Amino acid sequence: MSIKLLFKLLGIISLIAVLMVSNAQAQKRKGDFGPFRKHKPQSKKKDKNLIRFENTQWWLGAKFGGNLTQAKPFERFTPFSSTSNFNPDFYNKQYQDFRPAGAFSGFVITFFHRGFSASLQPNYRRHRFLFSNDYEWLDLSNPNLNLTLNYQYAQSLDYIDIPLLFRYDILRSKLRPFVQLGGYYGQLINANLTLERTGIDRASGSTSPISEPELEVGNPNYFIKTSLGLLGGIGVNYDVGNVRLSLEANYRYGMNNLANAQNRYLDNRLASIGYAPDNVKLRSFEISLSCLFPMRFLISKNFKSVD
Amino acid sequence: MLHKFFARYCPFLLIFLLACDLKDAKEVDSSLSFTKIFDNDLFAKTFTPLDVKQTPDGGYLVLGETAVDFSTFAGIFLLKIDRAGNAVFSQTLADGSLNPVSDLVPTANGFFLMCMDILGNETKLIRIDFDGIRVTEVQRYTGINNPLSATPEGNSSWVVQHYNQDENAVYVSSLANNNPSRSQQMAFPIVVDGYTESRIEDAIFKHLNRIGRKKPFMSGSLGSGMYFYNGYLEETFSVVFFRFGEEYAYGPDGGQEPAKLLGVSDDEVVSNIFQTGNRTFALARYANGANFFTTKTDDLFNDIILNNTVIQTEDLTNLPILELFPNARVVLKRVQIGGRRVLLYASDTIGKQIVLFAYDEATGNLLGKKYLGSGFPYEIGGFDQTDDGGLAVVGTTYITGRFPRVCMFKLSNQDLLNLISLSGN
Repeated sequence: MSIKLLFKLLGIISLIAVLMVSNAQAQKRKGDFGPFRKHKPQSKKKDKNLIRFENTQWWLGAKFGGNLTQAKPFERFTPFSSTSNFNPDFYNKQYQDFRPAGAFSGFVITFFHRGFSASLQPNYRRHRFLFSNDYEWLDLSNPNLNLTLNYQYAQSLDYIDIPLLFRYDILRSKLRPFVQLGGYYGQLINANLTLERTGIDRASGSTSPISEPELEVGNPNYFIKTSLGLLGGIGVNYDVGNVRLSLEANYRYGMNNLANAQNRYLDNRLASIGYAPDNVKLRSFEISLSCLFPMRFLISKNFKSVD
Repeated sequence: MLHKFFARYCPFLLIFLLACDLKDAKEVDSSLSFTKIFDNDLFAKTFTPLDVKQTPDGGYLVLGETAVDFSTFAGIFLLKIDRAGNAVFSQTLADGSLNPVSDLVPTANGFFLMCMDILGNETKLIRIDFDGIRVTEVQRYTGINNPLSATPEGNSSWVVQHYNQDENAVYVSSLANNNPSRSQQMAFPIVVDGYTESRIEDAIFKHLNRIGRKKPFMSGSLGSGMYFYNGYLEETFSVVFFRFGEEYAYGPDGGQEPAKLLGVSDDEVVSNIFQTGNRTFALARYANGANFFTTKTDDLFNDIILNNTVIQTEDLTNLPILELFPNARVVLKRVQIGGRRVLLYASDTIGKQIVLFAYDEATGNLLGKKYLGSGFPYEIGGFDQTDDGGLAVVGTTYITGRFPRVCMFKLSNQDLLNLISLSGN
């Protein structure tokens, strides 16, 4: 499934690249010079085509970064139900926000025109979040006899993510800050749940710590494939020669429930240990660094990119 | 250039983006399918479910046993569950009701349950409302002590197997809901004349006190005046077919004995029997640890009832079921799946999962099987078909491997359809 998706994605990227090239060639055939335009510094008045040429740029590059994710549950589920405490929230999972860190990397294709940009940034990303449950069993006739357990879950979700961002450059200097807003579409590639069980057994003759081997299971069927959301953020571009470095910080706002309601109790092993996925939406902060290369140049001594 | 690109190729992108599965995230009816474990923070409590029935509000009432501090016999535990599988009420009966011996039997305003009273081990009939809160005594049967099994016969009477300690005999009695006296009864000797009865009596009281494994005592009506019980007869644990009022003879002097499916002591017994037709049955048995199913009885079985003859359980057409726990408890009922009559055998595997075997009632052929529970041990309690065509299965699971608790698997109608498609899930 994931290989098919990768092919799908590569197909789209290739399609975009082929189209860009064919478009440029078509313009060249029409008398337009496509990505290259002769630079005439001596002319006092730039012709209209040159001005139009200089106002537009394509950037292509790579991007990588890290993210911190918050899982926002909006409906709770658990296989456990208490016969001594009928509060439905009794077994709610405790989520730990924005930890641990995840990462992502991918491509950037940006079209720039007069301070505005549209940027398609396909990437592979991993979101990670933590949640836990605590359990306690007591012997009422002898309170010294008890067992406490802590189940600490770490969930990771891997996506092929396709954000489309619209960006405005606030300044047009060498160091140019920008704001951006957009949306994303993600396809789940893999999901893993890691469980660490610890506790204290005071019922077997002495106080004995419990530390069971870590359990790791793939649980992609507990989540739907699709992830949709909005993202926005700020950043700054810095040009080093013809290469542009871009540092940006974004906030991603997941719009849809990621849990697969059809498969909530799919795996008996996970139900036995009290796991059923809540309905959650993801929120995340991310910081990334991009290295971009211009696709259109003025023909001059140094092949200066248009800006 | 960009606008041309998007104008040309956006449809392709949109098709890609819209080929998504957002609909799978939409909440399904949570009552259709779920897995629930009903925990309790009390360390030493043990809960063993025996039966589950759906209530008119779409929820469920679970009948179970738990230890009580006022008797050595098993207390009666009731758990009310809502339609989504959440516990809403539970109680352990403190009115002296002990040792439930029947399933929950639905009535217009609650469930009937035949059980034992703390006073004199008398048999009594109680009614439990659908919420599992109000329990009222309907009838107490004086002189009918130590009940071992009970099955309703029609709407107003019961066939009860009980042990008479004074006479060292198992009795099968026909009891009415509104009459404290038995209308019919028949005694069956637990030992052959001249032998000591202490071993059998000891086994019966161990069963009543829930020491060791419970024995598969059963009793009921087969129609046309024929009755049966599964229990002790002359040192054996056998299925005995009889008519009230017939004269049966026992021992070496000869005479007409009742028809029986002869078990051997406690080690080769029928663990469950279900009447599928006039003289046809499906059954499960175990023999020295091995488990067998007979999904369709043949003419031989018919003959023993008609001619009051005797056959050994091992002479039946047996399917060895190797994956079951030694001497496994088996719950056997008929369910309707996709318009087909299906015999569902529920039992425990060696690996301590619950397993459901579905057999076509018409042919006796296997249609499929399904395993429930994993991680911690699971044992079958009971099951019942639900109004939505699904199945509610209750069992015992051992949380963290040590706390016996009630668990429930609600299977949807689609789950059952998958079960009989031989998908092997």
